Amino acid sequence: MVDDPMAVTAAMLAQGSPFQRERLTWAEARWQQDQDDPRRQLDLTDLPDVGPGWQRTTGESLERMLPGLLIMILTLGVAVLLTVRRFLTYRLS
Amino acid sequence: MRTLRLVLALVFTVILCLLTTIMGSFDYSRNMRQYERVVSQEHERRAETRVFEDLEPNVIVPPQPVQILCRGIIRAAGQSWDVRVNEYVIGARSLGRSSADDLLFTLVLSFLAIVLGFDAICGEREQGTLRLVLSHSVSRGQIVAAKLIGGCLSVWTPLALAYTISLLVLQANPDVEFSGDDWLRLGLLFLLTCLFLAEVFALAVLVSVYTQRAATSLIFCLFGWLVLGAGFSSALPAIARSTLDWPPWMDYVENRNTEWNAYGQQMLEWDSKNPRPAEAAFFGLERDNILRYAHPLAYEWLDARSEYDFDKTLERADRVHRHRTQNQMPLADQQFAVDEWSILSPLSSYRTLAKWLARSTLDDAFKFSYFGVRYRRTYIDYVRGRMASHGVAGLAQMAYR
Repeated sequence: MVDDPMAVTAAMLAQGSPFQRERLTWAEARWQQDQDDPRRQLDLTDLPDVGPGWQRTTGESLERMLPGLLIMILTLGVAVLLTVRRFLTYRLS
Repeated sequence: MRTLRLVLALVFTVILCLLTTIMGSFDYSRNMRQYERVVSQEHERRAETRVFEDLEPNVIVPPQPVQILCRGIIRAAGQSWDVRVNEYVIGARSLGRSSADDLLFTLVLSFLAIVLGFDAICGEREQGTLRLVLSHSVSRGQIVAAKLIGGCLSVWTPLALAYTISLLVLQANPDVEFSGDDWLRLGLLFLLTCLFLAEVFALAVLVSVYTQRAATSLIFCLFGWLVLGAGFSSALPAIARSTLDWPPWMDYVENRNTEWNAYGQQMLEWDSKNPRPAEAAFFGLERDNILRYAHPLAYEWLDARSEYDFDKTLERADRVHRHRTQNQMPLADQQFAVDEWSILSPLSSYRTLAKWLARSTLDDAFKFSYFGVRYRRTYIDYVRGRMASHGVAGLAQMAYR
């Protein structure tokens, strides 16, 4: 760690300076330490599950279909009714 | 003649059904492999992630087997909704593809229902057999009821056979596993198809009882089949387009740019109020997407900045999403309108209802997207909880990558 960052001068920040080499060594050591540390991983045990509810239930689907189903049943009923009515007075000649 | 039609109906239906189901089954297996690959990649990505910024857990769901028989817009493929903290993803990503149209055999069956029903009354009248039938002591009501029930059974038989073969083919595929809910939906799909075929057959008989000649009846039936089926379905998008209006895309682009500029301005203001510590505090080394700073001052400053940035980013994302929804939603409304209005035609309504049952409509794709949006909120709450308990050090990388 840099104990007093305010005291760092432009010369110290120059590329290849002893200060810079020291910082690099420090960072490399930290990186290596992290690499070897098995705990260096996100703890996702309490990550919320996606869970159900991403698609409609059968009840919801049927509710959605209800107007179309009613129209289909109604069309069938009307077609049958008209056919029977017409056939009851159907003339063969 | 009628027996020949029935045999032809049976052969045609079974062959078409077999071909479409085999194709659908292959597509489903390929989509399942793709889904498994994406899930495995997601697990690997999570295991390798070191900072929450890179985590962004995607919502991935498997392909649904019922959609093999009724592919719709989702086409029996898995779906993924990519969670992004700094923006909203519009729409779910399809994890696979599948060959084009479905419900082909039901269309053919509806045609065959017409072929079986168009001369039910007028044809017999022309041949003189109707006079013979009416001479028996059977009421007219019974005759017409027998014709309707017999005709329905004639079209339901090939359907039942084709449906059974389809299910056997699908059961032979180890990737296809139907849940209890799937079996219920398959049963309802069969009943819906029976209702649809009965409806088409009854309409054909209706035309037959109102016309004098079989040829006239056939012309009326075929015309109606084309107009109410293909014609109505093709005209609906055009009608929906003409009745709905949507703003130009550039409106959204301008609004988005305004929001980004406002966000940039807010961050500049924060920076001016909270000066950055000396440059030396920010020395560090970046490895594996993690920048290790040299001094706690850098972390403290970045923590404070990231916390502010996090809130403003979420606000910006919400506002940009609102602009985009306002801009793009009319396009989706157009398709919703097509689905809503298609129930008005006896022929096009079946396709829409079957897709609702198989959960393969645009509406179902939207439901999944809304679910993804809700999960994003849950995930953000989770990240906030982590920030509160562990600090923002991990998230501090956001600003200075």
